[in-house]
Amino acid sequence: MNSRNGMSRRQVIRAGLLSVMAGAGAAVLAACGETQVVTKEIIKEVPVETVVTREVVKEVAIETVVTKEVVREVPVERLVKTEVVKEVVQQVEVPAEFGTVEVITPWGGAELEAFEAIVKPWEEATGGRVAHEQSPDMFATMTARTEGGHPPDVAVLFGIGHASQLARDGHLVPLETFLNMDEFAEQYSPAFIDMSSVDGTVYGVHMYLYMRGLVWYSPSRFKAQGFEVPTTWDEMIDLSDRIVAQGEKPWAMGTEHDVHSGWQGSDFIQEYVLADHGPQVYDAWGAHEIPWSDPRIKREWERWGEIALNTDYVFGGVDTILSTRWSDAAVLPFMDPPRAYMHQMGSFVFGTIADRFPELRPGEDFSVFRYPTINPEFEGASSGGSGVMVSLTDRPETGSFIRYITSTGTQQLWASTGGFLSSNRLIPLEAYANPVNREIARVFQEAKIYRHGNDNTWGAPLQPKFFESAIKYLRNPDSLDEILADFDSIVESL
Amino acid sequence: MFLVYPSIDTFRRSLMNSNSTEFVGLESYARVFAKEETQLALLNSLLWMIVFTGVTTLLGLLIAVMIERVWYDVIVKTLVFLPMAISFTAAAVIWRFVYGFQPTGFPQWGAANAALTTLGFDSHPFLISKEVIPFYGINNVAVIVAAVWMTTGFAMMVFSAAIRSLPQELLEAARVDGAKEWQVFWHIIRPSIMPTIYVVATVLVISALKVFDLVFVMTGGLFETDVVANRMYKEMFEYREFGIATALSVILLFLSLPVIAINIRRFRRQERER
Repeated sequence: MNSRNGMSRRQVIRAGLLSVMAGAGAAVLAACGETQVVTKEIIKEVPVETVVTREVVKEVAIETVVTKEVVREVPVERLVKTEVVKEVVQQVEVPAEFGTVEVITPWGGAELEAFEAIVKPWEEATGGRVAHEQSPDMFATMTARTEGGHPPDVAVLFGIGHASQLARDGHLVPLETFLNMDEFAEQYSPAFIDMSSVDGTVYGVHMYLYMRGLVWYSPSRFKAQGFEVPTTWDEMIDLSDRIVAQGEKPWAMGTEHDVHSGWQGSDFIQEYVLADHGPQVYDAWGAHEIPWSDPRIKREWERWGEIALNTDYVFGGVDTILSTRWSDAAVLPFMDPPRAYMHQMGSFVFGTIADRFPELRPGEDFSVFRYPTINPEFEGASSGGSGVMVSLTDRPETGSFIRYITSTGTQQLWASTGGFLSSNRLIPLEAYANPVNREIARVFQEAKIYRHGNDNTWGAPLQPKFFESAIKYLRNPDSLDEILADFDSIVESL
Repeated sequence: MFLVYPSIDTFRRSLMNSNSTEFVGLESYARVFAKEETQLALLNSLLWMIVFTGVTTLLGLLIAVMIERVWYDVIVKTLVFLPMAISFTAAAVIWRFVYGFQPTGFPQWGAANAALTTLGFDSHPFLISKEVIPFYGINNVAVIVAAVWMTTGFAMMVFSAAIRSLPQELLEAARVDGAKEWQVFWHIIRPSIMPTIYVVATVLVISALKVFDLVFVMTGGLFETDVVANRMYKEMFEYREFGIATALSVILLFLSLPVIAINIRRFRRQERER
């Protein structure tokens, strides 16, 4: 999947300006002699104000006096995190000569802002710099950079498939070069370590995990209407029917996303396969041991159709689903009056909703529940995805950066910025910034069965085909058999 | 160097399999013509070639002739020409807003649907539905309309310049002889600017064949609006089907060859006549 939080040009410019300003600020600090004292103040301060990170960074660049005042105003409960940062920074050793670490990620917007705030303490402590480059197409960028002989130091790849392909081609540096793997194994669960390993060597760390099987809703609206959060498929259908009986629409859906339109269908159907038929079938399907035309797979396409193709259920019907941008669909349940009550979408849509309605209180006016259990045998099955952070050079700067970014302290700090779901299992739920993120983290941590998206492992041509076919199915449900046969013939030709 | 080598390499790759490792002969071409998606892209490009070229040429000519003898011609020309200054991508975004769709009964932010609902009709998903014209969807026409809006200014300017350069005595003589305006147009202006019409049509056919950004941004090539250039991109970068992608580009090259050939021949003839 391509970047789901695309970065507008304005944001790019803003980010650019910010980094320039931050750079200038650092230069000023370095010039004024008292560098060390001041730096410590900044380290304490930056992550503290999680909501207004941007403003604070600006202040740092312009006036150090302001910074000191901010530090004094730090609320007591926030101090815990400050301590965390100090600890983390102390662990980072500073080599004599410290250069720039080049990082390529698909992140933009809020994700990038959080990342920049996170690397700030490392930059301040080591004197190193992180040169971030956003790539809208990691596949193309990484192919060009590695084949061209100028790999970045660190990259965040979209899928585990991409990571293992690069590892096999010998482009990646094993994490054991930089990290104590015993500690690493304590921090990250075996399932995740396995997913980023090739032949027993660990190459990557999962960043920005996202959960797929979530339904976004408004707890306050549910309460006002006397609705209960459904826990089974049947309860969910009952609730949907009840909303229809009131003359309203239960579901909001939108599949439009330029050439990637239709990934929602791919996400949902995979989630249903896992929740209905369990991990064995899911894995076998992923490994092409079960054909697409298998009745079990077909059933889950139809399950998606049961909701998406039901004009009573979905706001506006199929035409509206197809012409609504995915991020615009996410806000429908929170509009006034609500266009719908529920929206199935991954955890990454949090920022979209929070940005559009700053007045909504997370946890009360918008929140998530785990997608209802389809098959009790596989209760608590969840799927998701992540960016895989890998290193491509073994420079000391890269090592220091990787050690810093994978440490539990940094991960915890990152979690507190909102939107970031860490794969580090030592992070307590309380570390998350708000009730919604906490709920998502809870769903993740309590998941009895967890799988990454199959489509991430498949890559091209199956992944884009899945997206395109999901659209095709919505427009012409009768062609489902043809669509699935088409997949099988592609699999055969692989 | 920059043109010949890539062309030859493209041709070479079009004879190989999907990741360019094995020689498969013309198999990719067979697949292009057998695959539903690529068939559709080829047909849509044909539609673009005919409808886009035809409508833009006629409209450009019509406006050029009609404003020839009015005092406000500069204003009209400026207005018609203005969209030329917008990039295709920006225009595509604008037209996406124009065609924006909300279910009937909800506030419409798209100009087209706002107009429809104000007049009491149901809102219509212009970029999606295809039921109005059988086989070729209204959405294809909707995208072509955007292209026509952008390019008519170019056609009009060229025609206008061509008409201006005609000897005024000729037109005056015809009018004195009692010819009606449309007779003046049909018997004097049209034959005189025929070479210009050919040139404009050629340019338009080529731009119709290579149209990409408009479709890419407005529909992403979904909903049966794919054109050859768009499909090529998809096969190449999304599906990593190098064989099909390069075969498509070779087909595209061959499609534009006759147009170029006709054009060159006309140029030569004109040179000889001089």
